[in-house]
Amino acid sequence: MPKIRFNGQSYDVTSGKTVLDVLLANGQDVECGCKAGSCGSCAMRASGGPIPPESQRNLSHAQRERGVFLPCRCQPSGDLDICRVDEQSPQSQQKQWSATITDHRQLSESVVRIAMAQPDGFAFKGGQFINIIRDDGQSRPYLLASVGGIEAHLDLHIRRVEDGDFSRWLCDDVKVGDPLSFSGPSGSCHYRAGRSSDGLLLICTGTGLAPMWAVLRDAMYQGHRGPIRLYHGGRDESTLYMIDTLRTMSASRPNFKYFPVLKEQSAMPGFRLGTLEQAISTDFDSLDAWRVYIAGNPEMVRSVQKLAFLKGTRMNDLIADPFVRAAAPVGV
Amino acid sequence: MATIYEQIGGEKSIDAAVERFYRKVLGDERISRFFDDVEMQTQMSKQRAFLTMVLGGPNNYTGRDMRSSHERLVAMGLNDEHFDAVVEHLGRTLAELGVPANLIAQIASIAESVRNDVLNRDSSPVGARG
Repeated sequence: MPKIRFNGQSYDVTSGKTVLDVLLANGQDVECGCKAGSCGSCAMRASGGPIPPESQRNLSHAQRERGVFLPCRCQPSGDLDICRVDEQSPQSQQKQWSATITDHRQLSESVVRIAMAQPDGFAFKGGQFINIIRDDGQSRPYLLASVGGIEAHLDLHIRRVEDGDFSRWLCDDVKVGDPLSFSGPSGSCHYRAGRSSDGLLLICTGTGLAPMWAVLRDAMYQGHRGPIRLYHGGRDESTLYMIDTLRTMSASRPNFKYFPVLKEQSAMPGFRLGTLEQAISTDFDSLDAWRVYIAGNPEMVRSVQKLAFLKGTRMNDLIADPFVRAAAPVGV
Repeated sequence: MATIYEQIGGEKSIDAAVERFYRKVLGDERISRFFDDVEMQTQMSKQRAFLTMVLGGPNNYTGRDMRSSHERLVAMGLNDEHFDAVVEHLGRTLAELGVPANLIAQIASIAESVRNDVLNRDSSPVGARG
């Protein structure tokens, strides 16, 4: 008989019962509405076993990739670990990898690039994140800036946070040749092939640029034909990086444009003044046929997500990984 | 006789309606604050639940669920005007999707039937409490 594990408890799922039935019968506080797979209010996340396809029918790509399913439509064939949608699955269940650092250098005063050799058997998509694990057991999520399947290394952008012990360790202590342990990858902030004439709108602050850099190049490798726009926002020039690289690319690629947006007036030419929200509002009347990626400062992510949705982006095409946001103060 | 839910195309019509409806609600300054502090994906599943219910789809809500899930919003000031605005957006959404006026009226009356539970007050007629 299949078992489900939830909140440290384990329950048998008897034949004919759904995961929702079992959770409710055992007094677990689970929100639900229609109990028929239509309303989506009971959605949870599962890992560790096959998720029945009928329990994921009404969900978005991103949700399915994260293991979101509807307990009311789920009669599992094997054991499942279950958690609430906004919880991360326990790290102990994830396989750990180790890779050697092949490059470690400053991209700007506050951002360091770390590249690692891709371990055998490790597959990823650019824009997903991995959890770097230190010897003392502490771990932090970082987004991958390299393109899986094409580039054989893992690229991370790390912002040095002055009072952040973990980021200072990665920026100042580790060096080329050192091994780093990590788990993952997870997250859905990556390019998806298909609908190649859609617009791609990439919006980020800080090292939220890492996944955008991956999505941008993945789209180009895959021959994306629609317009691609990258907006990188910050307070002043020192909060941005890779400006010259992106400007060069913007000048040479007909379907790509890069907009650095600063809140403070710059003495240098070529920067937009204002917030990302203002720039998007000015530049786009409708975002109907656009896929919108957002990463960085959680407040910005929230407000740009809403703005894009109101301008017509479909919910399925709004890609703002909730873990990206949850991890923002440290990893992004 | 087919239910309203079946008459307007079942689950497919919910798919078509839910984004349209949520976009209207979120874009309406009178009420957007009630829909603003929850993750959008989660919030949209709640809109989906609401539409499924008022369109007569499978539904196991009880009055108690309706009350407890809106308690926090009532504390934030949720009142009849806001409820009216939501019903208005519901009607517009369905009209845009080509649902006939007589069905929209029936659907609005289903929405009306949960007004007192949503607003957390007695089920006696409006005004009867003095």
